[in-house]
This record gives sequence, structure tokens and C-alpha cells, in this order.
Amino acid sequence: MKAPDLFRGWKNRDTEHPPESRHDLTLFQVEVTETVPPPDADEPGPEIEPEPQAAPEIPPASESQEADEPPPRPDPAQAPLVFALPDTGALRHFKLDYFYRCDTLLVAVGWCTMPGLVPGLASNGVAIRTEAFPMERPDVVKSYALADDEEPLDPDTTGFVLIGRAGPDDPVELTWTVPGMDPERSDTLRPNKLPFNSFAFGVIADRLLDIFTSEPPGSPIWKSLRAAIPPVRGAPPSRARAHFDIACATADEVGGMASGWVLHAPDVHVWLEDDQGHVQTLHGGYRRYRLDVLTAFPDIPATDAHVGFFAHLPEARPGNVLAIWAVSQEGAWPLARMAASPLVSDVKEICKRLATIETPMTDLVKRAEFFDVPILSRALALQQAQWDRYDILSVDQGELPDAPLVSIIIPLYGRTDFVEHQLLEFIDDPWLRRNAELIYVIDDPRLVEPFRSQADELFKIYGMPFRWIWGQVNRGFSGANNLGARVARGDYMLFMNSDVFPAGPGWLQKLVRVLDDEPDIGAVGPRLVFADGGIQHAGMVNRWHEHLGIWINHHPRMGFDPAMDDNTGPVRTPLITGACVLITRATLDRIGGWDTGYVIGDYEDSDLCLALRDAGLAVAYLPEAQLVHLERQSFRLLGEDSFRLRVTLTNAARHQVRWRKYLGADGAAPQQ
Amino acid sequence: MKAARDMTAHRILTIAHGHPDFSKGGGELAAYNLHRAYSAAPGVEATWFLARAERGRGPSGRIVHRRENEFLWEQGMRSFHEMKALNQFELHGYFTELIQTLKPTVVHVHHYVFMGLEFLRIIKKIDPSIKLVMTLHEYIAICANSGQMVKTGTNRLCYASGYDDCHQCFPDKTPEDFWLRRHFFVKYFDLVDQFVAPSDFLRQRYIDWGLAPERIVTIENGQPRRDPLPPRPLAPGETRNRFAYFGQINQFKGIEILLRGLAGMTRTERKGIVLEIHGANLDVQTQDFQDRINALRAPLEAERTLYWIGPYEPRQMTDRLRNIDWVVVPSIWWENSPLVIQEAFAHGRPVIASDIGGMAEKVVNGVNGRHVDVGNAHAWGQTMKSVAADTVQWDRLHQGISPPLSHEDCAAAHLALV
Repeated sequence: MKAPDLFRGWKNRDTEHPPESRHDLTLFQVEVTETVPPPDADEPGPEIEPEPQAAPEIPPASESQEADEPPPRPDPAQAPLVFALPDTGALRHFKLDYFYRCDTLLVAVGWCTMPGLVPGLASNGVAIRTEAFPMERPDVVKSYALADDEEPLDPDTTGFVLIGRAGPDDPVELTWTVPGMDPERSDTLRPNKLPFNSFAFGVIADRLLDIFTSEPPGSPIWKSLRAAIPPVRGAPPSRARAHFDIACATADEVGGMASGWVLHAPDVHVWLEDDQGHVQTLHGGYRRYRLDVLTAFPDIPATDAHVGFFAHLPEARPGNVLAIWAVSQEGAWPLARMAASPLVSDVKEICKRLATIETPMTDLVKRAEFFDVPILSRALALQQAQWDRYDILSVDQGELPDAPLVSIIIPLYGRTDFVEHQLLEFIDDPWLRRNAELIYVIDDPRLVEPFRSQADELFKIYGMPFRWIWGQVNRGFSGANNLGARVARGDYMLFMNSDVFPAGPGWLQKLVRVLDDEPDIGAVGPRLVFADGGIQHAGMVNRWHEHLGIWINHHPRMGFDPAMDDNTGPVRTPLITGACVLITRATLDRIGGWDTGYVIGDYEDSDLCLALRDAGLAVAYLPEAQLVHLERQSFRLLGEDSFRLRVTLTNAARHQVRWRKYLGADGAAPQQ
Repeated sequence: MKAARDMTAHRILTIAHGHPDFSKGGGELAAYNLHRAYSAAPGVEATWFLARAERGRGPSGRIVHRRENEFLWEQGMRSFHEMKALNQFELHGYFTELIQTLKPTVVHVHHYVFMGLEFLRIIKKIDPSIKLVMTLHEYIAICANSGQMVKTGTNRLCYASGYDDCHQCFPDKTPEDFWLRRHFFVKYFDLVDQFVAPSDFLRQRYIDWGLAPERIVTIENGQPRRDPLPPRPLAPGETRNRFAYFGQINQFKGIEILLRGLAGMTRTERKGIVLEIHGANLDVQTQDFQDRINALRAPLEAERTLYWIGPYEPRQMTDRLRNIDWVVVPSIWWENSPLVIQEAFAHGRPVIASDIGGMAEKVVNGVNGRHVDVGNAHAWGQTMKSVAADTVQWDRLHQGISPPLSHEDCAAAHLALV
């Protein structure tokens, strides 16, 4: 058999470097025969048909080519390279069936019956690191009529898959080396059109799914692979089911949220996707145990009983159709779909919606960390981004001190009848009247109009000047405090709840003295007592709540007779309440103000104290300054307990993620 | 402009929650009578009477001339829980102008109910040297239940207020709300220079509540000076068996207990007893209460044991007392210093009263009257039966009566405080 000298390089090297192997190789090319059927020939369907390949072209013998025109390189993608075994002269082949590029991922699928041939990929001649996988190709083996004495071909390893990476625009060539011969390479490969030919997918699915599932969903390569995976043909496999309990979305960047369940066999991979191509993983984070689902579908061998999913899809918008997709070796198919219902982008509305999603109490914190907190953080950030755009309404009742030493900042929410009781005490404190300016921050739109006349009446009766401001929107405890701080002129700022009442004069001066005398103290508060006289606050600590799985703000000795607290002077304590706390402007600026990332009101004070600790400052309470705190009156208008509890748990989750390094340092660490 | 004033002479403005022209409650009468007594007292240059009134146009805050030196004030209060004026605006207007115009040296406040407490501060703002005297007629600062110190619903007696205790009576108010309520009263009471209690019992209740003992004295309400009536002439064989109730008819006054005491006697026992009811306002009580009273009334009236006389004017009091032997005060609340006890004593009639509060203080058991276990219908029946049969006892108790404090002495006692 004549061996056409197709490749000059090969031929030259052949003469210059005698083969080292036992094979005396002869190279030639033959026409593609029907005995090696093009893979997938039986596959119908336009989507998955391989790109029609150009008819094999046998280039003219290179010897006759002109020297100044380099002959085209051999192209195993076009037609098999043919080798003759040296001892028997039997023909062997090397063929590239498919070459795909998914973003940076390169996938080459082919077969080779030439012993010792090592296929590879290169870019501009530089080898690309590839993983090579043997592949079963009984179809190839079957097409050889081997002589009895010939070594049989191994159907298990006849096929190969090469997987490598290259920049999306880098040219890629196929390379091959045969022992005793110089490495050779093809011209730049032209990739096949995606999606994967289902034959090719069938053989490379394992490895591709490994890659697919290890990539972050939504990454370019993930997306490229996602588009490349062929849809399942015919009936989808019965190894997965899913259901949406809820799917909703805001019209802004808070986006979509979905919950439901998805049950799938180990070889099925699932994710969440909307009809605009936005994707989200369903793995990791919080998953809920759903015995009901497992019981209803015993036929699906789930690997994990936690089949309830919670997903945040920030890019989704109302009306987008969310879907749970599955992929297995058969391809990809949708398991469940639901259009996202519209949700008002308001923190409280979102909280309410989140509260409707069933979750066992003991799981709420974990869920919040991965689901509720990221959603609410976005909602808060969006809402708060608007704050600075609003004009601040500021009304002065009377003439405030010219250069106050202290600014008393008191947010008002829900009710204003407390103000009169505070004024009744403030007017009896000459030092306070001389040195402090009083700022009420209305943080409740319902209060603005009634307070306008009330403020006037109160000033007329009590003669205590004060400023009241309205930031045009409810900002919560931290936001209202920060707004108050913005207009405050004092070097010291006393943040005070409206339901805290002095029991006599002198308390503010005492607190100021603590910060003056003790430079390591960043913030100081008074001792607080309830209406009935029992201790409400004499310092605060973080305490682990095993049942809920959260760190709670614990008030040691709460309800006790204040006489049982025999401390004197400033008492350094892990935390102090935010109900009444004095801090210098410099210190407050240094820690960036009150954190506004908590919903409705929880943990802001603990956060402030831990931020101070982070800045190397202590906090303390002063037993010699005692005020009354009608504690439970705050926020009593906010509604039912279960909702409040959920909000608290959400805040707790955020709090413990932020301050993990300090929590537990004060006392018993949680049992892990 | 008048000639230079005697700087030591008092100019006294009395403020009351009502005018006796319209409302003859004990507090209104005591305030008005004291105002009149001030006018006649030596060392008093001028006196005025300002009474809160409802004149069909709500709390306009306006001052209306009633007669010489008497004014009406159209003001209102928010509630017994929030003792705040409804009209804040005119506190700085008409009310302020009145004080600035009258220039009182003493403002004697008999009540703040229906007016709110803020006017006390307005007065002190206008002139801190104005002495504020406040007579406490009820337990309003202590108790949101109209100052009665009885439990809502059950009418059980209440011995002390407490944030949680009060919450039990008013479940829609939290204990903290009651802290606020008390705080408001305490801060306003701080403005008062002198408190007056018409009874030691009331004084002690306020001391227990937190008022410093040195800030409150007891001065009994005054009575017109008069000679006692002669004892009712007895026909041969007749006994001291005529009892009379005077006053409002409401659920706190114990009429029901009294009637049930009579109803619980045998017909024979009742035969020797006559009870007259001189009372007003049954018709404005709850239907349930009216029905209960009427059901008890009918058979007793048929038997001629009970005579339902009805309302009376103060000037009729003497005539009505002429033909009875005993005055009964069966209240089931504490009372303060019931005017009717002083009136009975002024007319020489012993009093049978519930053994609690201001009644037990003013009526000395076995000296000028008898005590009866409060709320105990059977005890009332038995007491009436036994005293009606015991003429000797009546004579002894009649002898034990001392004349009550006169208006003049009452005014003098007050003036000694300022």
C-alpha cells in the first residue's frame, strides 16, 4: 500500500530520525470509509446534529507542492489520519470527531486506533495542559476487520476526550505524538457549534457535569456550559422532582426570592434559573428538612433529606419565570416553574413575606444567614440610599443653646406622649438646660402632624427649648440616631429612647464626667430601672440561646432591686444598652455611626459596643446615674410576636456573622 | 388703678370643677362655701370663684362672667387616665389673661378634674409667688377609676394603687402607662405649695401614695353655724325608728345594700322601721342598676316601710331632717368627708355609716353614731332593727354629737396656712 506523503514534517523526520519503537510507521491517508460510521449518525433533531462536516479532502502530495507555499497541516478533524502498522501494514487511524469551546473550556472528542499515539491540544504551538479521558468506542472497533493474529483493539479506550483550558480568543490546535516521531499539530481548530452533540454529550457528560457543578452558577464558563448542554429528548428521567412554594420579586435590585423543594437522585444536578438566564445555586446555604416530600416520593433515591430550598435571585424581576432545572447524562430539563409575583420593595413588606415562609424555629437563624439577611441587606441598602435625597424638616421650639456641650438625641416612634414626661424632668436640671441641646427625631410619618402642634404646646407650657426634625422617612433606631447626630452640635451625644425618664437632675453631667475622666471608655450609660423600680439595665452581655441558636442581649440582674447592685463608679461591662448612651462625636465618627443594617430595631446597641471594642474602647454603665426606662413600651405598636421574633432572629444572624470574633469571648461559648 | 394695695392682704382665687348653681356635689359646695367664707374673712382683700362649666359648645377655653367675682371656664380633660386639658391653646390665652388681670396671691384649687393639671404650671409661670393651695376631694391622682379606689367591674375596695394592680382594673393600659400617669401627677403636685385633705383618711391615702406628710394637712369642710334641731318628738310607745338617706343614688352609695338589709328582715321586724330616701339621679344610672333598685323598692314601699322622697334642695335639708331620727351613709366606697355627715351633726342627728374610710373617721362608733360592716346587707338590717328599739342609745349618741367646723373657722384654718 502506498503511503502518500501528506505531511512534509513527518516525512522529513521519518528519514532523519529512525523510529525507536518496534513499529515502522508509514503514514498515509485514506478516504473515510463507511466502516467507520460518523458518530451520532442516527441522532435526529436539528439542535443536536453535528455541524455538517466538509467532505474529506485529500490534499495533493506535498512533494509536488511549491516550496514557498506551506502545505496545509493535516486535519484529523476533517478526516482520519491513517497509519500503517510497521510489522503488518495494517491500517490504523486517528480522528477528531468534535471540538467544542465553552468559554475557556476546550473539549475535544475523538478516537484513535494507532497504538502509542498521544493526542493533545496546543495554542500557537505551545502545549495546553489537558486532561485526557479514555472513552468506549465499540462502534469504532466494530468497523475494523482484524486478522486473527492481530492484537485486538480495546473498545474501552479507543475513544478519547481531551479537556483543557484556553483564553476564549486563543487559537487552539490539535497535537499528536507517536513514539519515534516528532510531535505534530493541526491548523487552528474550528469549534463545533454548541450545544453538544448528544452523542458527544453522552460520552463526556460525566466529566462535563463535574466541571459544570464545580463552577459557580452564573460564571461565564458555567453559562457557556449551561447553553451547551443539550435538552433531554423525549420523556425526562424520573429521578428528580421539584416544586415552588413561593416565588416573588421586587422591581428593583432586591430581586427575586424563591422557596420550595427539590428532590433528586445523586446523578442529577439541579439549579434555579429564570427565563432571562439568571441563575442561582440550590446547594449550600440553608436547606430545610422535608420529611413530607421524602415520604411522598419514595421512588427517588435522594442523598440528602434536606430537600427544602431557599434561594435569592437578585437579578429576577416580577413576572420572570423561575424554574428549577436538572441536568444529568441525558441532558437538561426543567423540573418546576413559577412566575415571580410582584413584591413591594419595602423592608417591612419583605420581612412580612419572608415570615410567611415556613421554617422550623430552630433553623430560622441559619436560614436567615443565607437567605433573609442577604435579601434584607439589599433592601435596606436601596431604601437607605434614598435617605440623603430627602430634605430634613427642622423646627426649633424656643432658642437652643449657642454652643451646647451635649446634644440629647431622642427618636420618636409610635407615640409622643412620653415627650411631656421627659420635659417635666429636663426642666428641673439646670446643668442640662445650660449645657445641652435637645433634639427630637421624628421617625414615624404618622407623628409629624400631631407633633407639630404638640411641640408648640409643650414649649409654651414648659419653656424648654428643643429642636425637632423629620427626615421624611422612617429610618429605624440607628438611622434616626444618625440623622440626629447629623444636626447635633455638641461634642458629646446622648442617645436616648423616648421612654427613658430622669429621676432627678445631675445624671447627664455625671455621664459626661465619666468620658472626660476615663479615656479608655468609649461610651457610657446610666443604670436604668423599670416603672416598678427593678433593674432594667446595669450593663449587658451576649448570651447564647441554645434553642434559637442565637446570641441574645442579656441584661444581668434584670428586675432585681437596684440595692442589690453595689457597684460604684463607671462599671466596665461587655455591652451597654442603647436606650440611653453617651458617646463623643469623635468616637462616634470613628466607628462610622450607628449601624443601619438591622431591621426595625434589634442589636444596634450591641453592634455599637462591639464596634467600639473593635476600635479598642470599653463601654461602661454608671450606677450613680439612674433613670427610669419603661422598656416594653418601645415598639409595642409593631405587631405580632411571631413576626417580631423572626425579625429578631434575622438580626441575630447578621449580628453573629459580623461579630463572630467577639461573641463568646464574654462567657460560655455555644456548643458546636 | 386703685390705691396701693395692702401687700399682706390676700387676694384669693378659688377654682373648682363645677359651680353649685349647676351641680351640687360635695366638692363644688365645699369650694363655693369656702370661697364665700374667704370673702368675709379678715385680711382678705379680694376673692373670686372660677368654676369649670359645660355650656354646650365644648372646651372653648373661654372665661364667662357668671356674677360678680364669679366666672365659668369652658375647659375639658382628656380622661381620668390622662389628666390633661383639652384646650391647651387658651391656657396661654384667656386663662393666662384672667390670672394676669386678677393678680391673685393665692389660688385655692379644689379640683383639676375636667380641667387637666397644666393650669397649675401656667399660674406659677405667670407669677411663681402665687401660693397654690389644693384641696383633694377624691383619690383621682391615686386611682384612674374616677378616683374612687374601688376595683373596676366588681366594685371591690382597693387599698393601694400599684402599676400592676391598676393594670388589672384597666387591662388596656400597661403597668408602664400607670407609671406615666403617676409621674404626671407627681410632677404637677410638685408645684402645689399646700395640700389640704378634708379627712385624715384621705390624707393618709395620699401619704401612702407618696405625698410628703408635711405637705398635706387635714381641714374639715365647713358648715354654716346653726343650732341643732330638737329631737323628733315621740308619741307614746314610739321609738327612734326613722332613718333617712340623703345624697346621690349610684352604685357606690350603698342604697342597694340598705334596701336588701330591709328586705332580708321578717315582715314583723320591718314593721317597726321607716326608711326615707332623699336622693337624686337614679334615672341616669345603668338600666341594670335601676332595675335592681326598683325591684327592691316596690314591695317595701307597698308595706310603707320605705318612702322614696326623691331629690331635694340644700335649703330643704333642715325640714327633711326634722322628722327623722338617724341619717344613714351606707356607701361601699371609701368616701372622703361626706357633707351629709357634717349636715346631720349640725342638725343634731346621729349617723349610721359604713365602717370604712372617711365615714368611719367622721362617725365615731358608739359616740355620735354607729358603724356597720361595709357592704353587709344583713348587718345593716340588724343594726337598724336594734337601734330603732333602743331609745336610750339614741339619746346617748345624740349627746355625743359635737358641732361641726363652721365656714368661718374653716376659712381661718386655711388662711393660717398661707
